[in-house]
Amino acid sequence: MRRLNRVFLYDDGAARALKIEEIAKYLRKKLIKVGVEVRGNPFAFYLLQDKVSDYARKIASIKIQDATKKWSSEQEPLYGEIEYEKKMILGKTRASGVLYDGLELQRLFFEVIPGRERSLQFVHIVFSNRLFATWDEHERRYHARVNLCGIPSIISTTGVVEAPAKPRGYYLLRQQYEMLGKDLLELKNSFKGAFIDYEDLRLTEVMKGYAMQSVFYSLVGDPFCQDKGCRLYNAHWQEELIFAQIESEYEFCQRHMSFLEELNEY
Amino acid sequence: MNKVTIRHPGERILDELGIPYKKVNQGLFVADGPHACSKLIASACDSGVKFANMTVFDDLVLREGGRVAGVVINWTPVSAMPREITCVDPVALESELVIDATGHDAQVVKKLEERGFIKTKGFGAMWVERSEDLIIEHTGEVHPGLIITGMAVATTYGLPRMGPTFGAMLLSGEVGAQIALEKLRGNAKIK
Repeated sequence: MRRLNRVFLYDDGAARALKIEEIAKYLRKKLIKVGVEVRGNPFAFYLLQDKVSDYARKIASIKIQDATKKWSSEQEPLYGEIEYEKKMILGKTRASGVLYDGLELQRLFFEVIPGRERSLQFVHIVFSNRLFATWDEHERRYHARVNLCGIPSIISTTGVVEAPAKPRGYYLLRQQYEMLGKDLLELKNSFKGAFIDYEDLRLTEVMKGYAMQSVFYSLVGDPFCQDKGCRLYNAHWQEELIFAQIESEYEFCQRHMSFLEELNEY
Repeated sequence: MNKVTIRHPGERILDELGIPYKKVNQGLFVADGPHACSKLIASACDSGVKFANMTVFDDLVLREGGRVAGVVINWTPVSAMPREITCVDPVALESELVIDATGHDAQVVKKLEERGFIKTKGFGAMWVERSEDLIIEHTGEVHPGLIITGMAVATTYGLPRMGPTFGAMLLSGEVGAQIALEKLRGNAKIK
């Protein structure tokens, strides 16, 4: 098990319902001997003003247009796409819905982190409202993700709504609603509580578990757990996600609890 | 009567133009389509807009560096009649700016693409909650002299389509108009 030096939390336009300070407080409680620092927008924190256009172009060029086609570095972004990314970097808009290649996005965040902090002793966690996906070679398509662990780990507040599957009945009914032109809000209300929605009040609580997955990635190299009641469970369904993060009687399984105790005893 | 749905904050435009509407849900409003459309057209005319009715967009006027400097139009019947009896030359309308508000077709941008100046992405799958904000945020100048608004924005940038809701259409038009005004003021200063 590695020793951790510090945890840094960033806000790349994450959902308004997310209370990053509360997550920092939670992490301080769980990681008694590790400093936790909230740094705000990663680009605002590290990036010089003259580099904004450069990074806006880089981010605009990693957009996924078709989930069945792998991203290519030859993609040329349009002027309007670059302008939109500039607004995102400068925090002038929170409009999300563009899909990005997750690994490329992580690489761009990595570029702005200073060399002295690019180590697994430092846990960098970026909370973002950007939706990202990773390419699956077997299925030859992209899959949306909530959390992409690494340096930095990026956690998507849009991904937590869109990536884990909602109840089967919801999708069946949604098809009917769309065909009949009925109000989707009404459908959402009938499934209220069954999945994490935009600006959901449970978002901060859920994100605490995802932040811990990023911490465990740096600690032991594996962010996930097989135990469905452990916060580190890699949920593919909203039902599993809500159980692991909110409804389970315990936060962490015995094995991961002992890792935390060991870390706090150092 | 056909209905149009408008999501918040698009109802502000309805209020400004005196278009009657009903609230059907939190943040969702409904207006009668013909009433809303005719008031929109009337207020555009009141503001000085001139319509070239029964005309079809044919081509672009391009100037130095590929700057869009107008459009080429023709009478709509010309395209539907035999060439032998429609020997009508198109008409070029020069302008400082062109605004493409042709919806999903994005006809002006597509013409620019035909000429190799731009590569459109084609609109993405429907995602009602996200598309409206994205359309507004991407509204603007896509090429020197060419501003895009509404669903032409989705087609150009590969943004999600939005389904039968029109709030972002109205607000995107407003943003496009503001950008056009700024450009025209800027151009006037340069001159």
